Amino acid sequence: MGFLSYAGRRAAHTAVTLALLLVFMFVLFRLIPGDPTTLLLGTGELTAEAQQRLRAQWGLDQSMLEQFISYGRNLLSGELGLSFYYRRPVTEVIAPMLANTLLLMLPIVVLAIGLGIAIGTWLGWRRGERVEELGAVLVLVPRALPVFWTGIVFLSLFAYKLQWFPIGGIRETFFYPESWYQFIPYYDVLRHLVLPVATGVLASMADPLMIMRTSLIEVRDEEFMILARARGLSTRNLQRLARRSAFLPVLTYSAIMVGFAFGGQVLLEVVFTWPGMGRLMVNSVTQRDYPVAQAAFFLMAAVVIALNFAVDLIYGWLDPRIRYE
Amino acid sequence: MSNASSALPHTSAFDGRIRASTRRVVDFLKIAFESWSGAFGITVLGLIIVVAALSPWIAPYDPIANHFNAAGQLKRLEPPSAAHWLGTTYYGLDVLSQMIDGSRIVLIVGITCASFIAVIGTNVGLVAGYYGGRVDATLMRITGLAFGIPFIPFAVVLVALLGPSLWNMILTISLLMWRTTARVIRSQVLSLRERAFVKAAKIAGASDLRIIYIHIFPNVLPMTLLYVAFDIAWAVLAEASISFLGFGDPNQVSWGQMLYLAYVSGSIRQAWWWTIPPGLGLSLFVISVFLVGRQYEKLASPRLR
Amino acid sequence: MSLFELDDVSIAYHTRESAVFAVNHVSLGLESGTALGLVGESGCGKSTLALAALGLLPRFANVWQGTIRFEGRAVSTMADADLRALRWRRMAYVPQSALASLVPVHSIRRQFRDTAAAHGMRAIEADRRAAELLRRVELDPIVLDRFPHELSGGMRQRAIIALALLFKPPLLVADEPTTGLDVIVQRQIVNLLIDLRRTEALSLLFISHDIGVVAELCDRIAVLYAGEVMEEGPTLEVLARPSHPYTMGLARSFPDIRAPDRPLVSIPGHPPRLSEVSKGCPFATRCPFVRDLCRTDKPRKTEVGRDRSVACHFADEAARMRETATRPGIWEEGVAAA
Repeated sequence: MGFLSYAGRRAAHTAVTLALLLVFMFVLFRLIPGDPTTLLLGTGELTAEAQQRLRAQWGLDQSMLEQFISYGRNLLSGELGLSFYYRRPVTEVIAPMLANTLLLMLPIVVLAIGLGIAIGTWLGWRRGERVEELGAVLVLVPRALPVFWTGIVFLSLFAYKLQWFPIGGIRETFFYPESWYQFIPYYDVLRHLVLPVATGVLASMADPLMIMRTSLIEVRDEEFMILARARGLSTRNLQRLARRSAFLPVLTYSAIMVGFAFGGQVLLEVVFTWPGMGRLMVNSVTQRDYPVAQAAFFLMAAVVIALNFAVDLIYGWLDPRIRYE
Repeated sequence: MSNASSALPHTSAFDGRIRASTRRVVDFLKIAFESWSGAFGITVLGLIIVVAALSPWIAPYDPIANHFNAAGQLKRLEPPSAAHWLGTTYYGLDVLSQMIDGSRIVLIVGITCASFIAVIGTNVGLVAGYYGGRVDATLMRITGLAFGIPFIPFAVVLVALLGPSLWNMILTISLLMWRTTARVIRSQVLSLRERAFVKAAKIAGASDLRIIYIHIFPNVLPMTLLYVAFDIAWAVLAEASISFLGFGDPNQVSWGQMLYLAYVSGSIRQAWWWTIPPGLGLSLFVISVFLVGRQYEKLASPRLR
Repeated sequence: MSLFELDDVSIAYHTRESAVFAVNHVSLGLESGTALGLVGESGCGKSTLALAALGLLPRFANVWQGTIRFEGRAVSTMADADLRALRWRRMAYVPQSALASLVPVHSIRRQFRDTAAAHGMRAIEADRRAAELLRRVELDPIVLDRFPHELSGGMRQRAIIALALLFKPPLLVADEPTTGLDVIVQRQIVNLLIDLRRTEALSLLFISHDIGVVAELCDRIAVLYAGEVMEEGPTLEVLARPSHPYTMGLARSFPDIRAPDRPLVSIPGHPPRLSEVSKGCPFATRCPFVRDLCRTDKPRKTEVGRDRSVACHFADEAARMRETATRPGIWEEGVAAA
C-alpha cells in the first residue's frame, strides 16, 4: 500500500466526479426553455460572426454526444463562451470577480476554521464544567442567525448608524488618506473587508468549533490517551496528541465547508454589494446571461471538488490507516 | 365484563405499541424540559406551531393589504404604533400580519423538505451501505457530486429555470440536501451490517429487502430523526436565503422575502421594525430546533451526557 | 517495606445519581521481585485497581478511602507532577489491547521517542534502547517504522511490552495482556514474561481472568469478587487447597489435563451489581455453603496458614467444604442436594 497508490485512487475518484459534474451541468443548462442554442448564443444579442464562431466551437450543429464532448473540452480548458450582457469573453468578465471573491472568502474560511479549532479545543478540554455547558449553547446562536440578516444588522448598526465602516463595495471611488493610519497600503480595501468578513466568520465558525469539541471529547476517552498518560506525557503533550487525532474530522469537514462557504458567499456579496463571483452569478441569472452563470457555477463546483481532493490527500498523509480505502 | 375481556387480546398488541410510543415521547419531553435550553427550544417551537396553525384567525390584517391613512396616502414605513404593532413596510403592508402569515411557510417548508430529505437520504444510505460494491460506489459517486455542488448557486439556477414557486423551492432544496443524511446513514449501516442479528436474519432466509427495512432500518431511525431535526432548520434557512436573493415565490409571504423587500427598497437604513422581526423569527426557530435536537441526541446517545 | 501496597483501599465511580464502589476495602501487598496475580470475573474491580495504582483513574472516579503506596510513597494522594516522574520510569503499564492503546497515527519509533522525551531521554538514545528492547522481545527492529495497525496482535503485544521496559521499571502492571490473543501467541507472551522476570528482576502485578496463566506466572494470587478480596496467598497452595468457596468453584471451572473427563463447574448466577451494596458477604447469593450469618455480617480477613488469608466466616471448615466442593451437583442445587 502506500501513499502514492492511495493518491492515485483518489485522483481517479475526483476525475469521475468531475465528469459527473459536466454531465449534470450539461443536462441542467439544457433545461432552459427554448432552443438549446439559446444557452450560448442568446436571442440576438451577439453579432452574426460571433454566433458563427460559437456554433463551431461548441458543436451546436452536431449530435448530442459530440456536443457534450465539445462542452466538456471547452469548460475544462477554460473556454467559457461569450457573455451576452458584457459582450466580452466570459473569462475576461469572471477573472477580476474571482479574485474579489477569493479575497473575501479566504480570510473567512481561515479565520473560521482557526477560531473554531481554538475555541472548540478550549471547550472540549473543559467538558463537564459549567463554562462548557454554557459555551456549547452559546455557540449555536451565531450558527442559527441567517447570514444575510446578520449582514443587514451589522450594516445598519456599524455602517449606517455608527458610520465606522463603509456601506458596501470593495473600495471607494475616490479615496484620499487623511490620518496617518489611512496611509497603510490597501487600507481602503481592508476597511471594506471588515464587516463582510466578520459576518461570514460568525456564521461559519460554529461548525468547525462543534466538530472539534465533540471530536476532542471522544478522543480524550480513547484508550491510547490512557496509555499516553501512563507513559508520563505532560499535559501539554497530551493535549497536542488529542488535538492531532481530534483534528481529523475537522479537516474532512473543511472541504465540505468550502461548498457552504460559496453559498454564503453569494449572500454576503449581495448584502455588501461586493463585486465578486457570487453576486455576478445571481445577476447573470436574472439578466439571462447564461454563459456567465454557467461559468460561475462550474468554477465554484470545480473548486469544491478540487478542494475535496486536496483534503483527501492531506488526510491520507496525516492518518495512515485511511490509505487502505 | 366478559365481552370486554374477549375484545382485549385482539387490540392489546397495538395498544402496547401506542403506549410504548407515548411513553417515549413523554420521556423525551421530560429530558427536554430538564435543561433550560431544551425547555426554551420546545416552547418556542410550540409557539410557532400554534401561531402558524391559527394564523388566519390571529393576524390583525390581511398580510397583503395596503393601508392608507386618513388623507388617503399610503402608510409607508410607519414605525410601530397602536394600530400596527410592528409598523408598516415600504409598500404600506402590516408587518405583524406578515410575520404571522410567514410562520406557515416556515413550517410547510421545514416539514416537507425534511420529510423528503429523510426519505431520499435514508434510503440511499441504507441501500449503499447494505449492498456495498458497485451499488455503493455508484451511489457514493452521486452523493459526492451532490456535495460538490454549492447549494445557493444551484438553487438560484434551478429556481430561475423552473420558475419561482414554493413547490419548486421545496423540490430544489430536497434535491440537494439529502447528501449529508445519506452519508451518515450509510456509515451507520456499514457497521450494523456486520452485527450478529443481521447475519442471523440472513441465515434464517430473510430477503434483502426485509433485512434492510425490518431489521436495519429501526436501528438507524434515531439517527435519521436527529438529522431530520437539523434538516428542518437548514431547509428553512435555505428557503429564506433563496427568497432573500429575489427568487422567492411572489405569491407567498415568507420571512426571507420580507427581508428581500426591505433590502431592495433601501429601507434597512431606518426600518428596524421591518428588518429585525423576520430575521429574529428565523433565528429563534433555528436555535430552537438545534436545542431540541441536542436534547434528543442526549436521549439517543447517553454517552455524551 | 513492600514495593507496592494497597492499604484498605476503596475506589468509587461517581454517576449522576450516586457513587458506585468498584473496589471495597482491599488490602494487598506486592514484594519486590515477586509476581502477584489478581483474578476474578469481569467487573470484579481488578482493572480499576490497576488504573488506580498508576494514578490513571478517569475524571469521574477516585480513591474514596485508604492509601495506595509505591516504594513507600502514597501515590493515591500524590500531585500529578510528582506522579509523572514515577510513571513509566518506576512503574509501567501493559494494557489489554495494544491496538487501542498505541497511538494509531504514530509509528512505533515515534511512540518510543515520545515516551523517552517525556522523561528527558534523547532521541538517539531512545532509538538505540528501542532496537535493543525489540530484539529482547524477539521482534525485528524493522518494526520501528511500522504503524500499530500494520502489525499482528502478537507483535503488537510484544512491542508494547518492549516499550514498557524502556526505563527498566521495577514494577510492571499488566492488565489482561494475553486476553484476546490466540493460544499460540499467548504461550509466547507468557514465556516472554517468565523470561523477563528471571533476567530483569521485574516485579509483576498481573491481572487476568485466566487462572491457568496466573498459575504459571505468579508467586502469589489474590482472588477478587465484587470488589473485595476473597482469598490471598501463594498461588500453588491457594489453587491446590482453596479456602474460599469461590476459589473452589473457580479452580474446578478449568479443565485439568490430568483428569480430562472431570466435569467442569459453572457457578450459577452472576456477580452482584455494584450499585447494590451488600451487608454481608458478597458471594452469599451464589455460595453453596451459605448460612444466615453470611447474609448479615461481612466476613473479616482470617489468617490460614503461612502468608495466606481468606475472607470467610467458616474458614476453619475449609477442608470439609473443599471435599464437598468436588461433588459437581452441589454447585447447581446447593449443599442440601449433596
